[in-house]
Amino acid sequence: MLILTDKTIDLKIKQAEIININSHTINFCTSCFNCWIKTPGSCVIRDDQVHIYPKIAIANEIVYICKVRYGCYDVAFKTMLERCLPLQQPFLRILKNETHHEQRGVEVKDAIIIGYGVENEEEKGIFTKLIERNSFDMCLGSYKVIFATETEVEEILLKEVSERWIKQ
Amino acid sequence: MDQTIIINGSHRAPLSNSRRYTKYLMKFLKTDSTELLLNKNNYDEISKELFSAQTAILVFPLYVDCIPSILLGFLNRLEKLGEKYKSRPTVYIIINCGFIENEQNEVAISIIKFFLKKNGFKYGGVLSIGSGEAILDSPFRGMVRGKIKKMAQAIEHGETICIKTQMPISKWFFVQAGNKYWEIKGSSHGKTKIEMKTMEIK
Repeated sequence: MLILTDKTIDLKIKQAEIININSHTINFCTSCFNCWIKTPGSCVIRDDQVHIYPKIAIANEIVYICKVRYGCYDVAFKTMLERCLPLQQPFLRILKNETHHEQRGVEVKDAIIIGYGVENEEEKGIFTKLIERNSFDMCLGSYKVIFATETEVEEILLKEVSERWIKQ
Repeated sequence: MDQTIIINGSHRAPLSNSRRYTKYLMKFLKTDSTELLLNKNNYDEISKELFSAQTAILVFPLYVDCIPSILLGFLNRLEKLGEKYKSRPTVYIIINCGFIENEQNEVAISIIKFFLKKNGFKYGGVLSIGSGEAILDSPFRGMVRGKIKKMAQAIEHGETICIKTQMPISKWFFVQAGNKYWEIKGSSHGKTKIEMKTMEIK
């Protein structure tokens, strides 16, 4: 189980690795596409993200905890996701009647997405739609989107991972 | 004098397809316009330009199903700086998606619209392009140029507009052509198709 968060989580979950992305240096993707054409499967920006994306690839249970801005992930989280481009091949396929990229060795995931800081129902709707879109190229075979206040996050995290995965 | 600024929100702004779309737009706009390329160090400078403009056009690619993080960071900064400024330009969007379906742009458009509404900007409209990384080098480039011309006219008349376009080919053909493109691209860097399809992630 991999938990990626943009806020500090003061919890220990035995079965999980928790990565606070704000404790890592993750630079913007430069859209060089070298991870497709020069060094396939490997990002040429050798910052902390090169230790994170291989973990995302092999996780089959994953949690995203992120602040929501305008219905999108906030900047740090979005930057981290953009830097996961090495997980995909440049080559295209048709998936559910849409064009998408072929994946490399990426496990299909069961995901929990906890978004905090949303302002209203419209923003929730946009974010939920975004996760639905992301599920194609992020290999989210199943997922649950939950909205919370920032103070509720840990309680919800514990409850959800316990009910969904740990008790199984 | 009315000022129109065009902000390129691509991560590779100087070399981007967004820049090529901007060039067409500037050609079709009869009024003077200024092109600004976002980078992580010029948010404040570009924010200042935006708040003094009458019209702003955001040009960017779809990235991980939404807006590029460099543009998202800029919007965050605009929101913060916006408290200091009273005036707000009308904002238009040109978004291009590498996949063939322009519908894949819808979430990104919603995100921009949400930001604009929250921060008191008037939304002018959108040109939503599918197959946006390929169409300019295809026999269909005239189609997209025509749409950009139409958008330029709407901008000049202050009209609200919503235009969608993409290559008029089948998805299957788009996939075949796209895969050939990448195979050639890899080959020019000494990579075979098999090497490019590696399952290994490191």
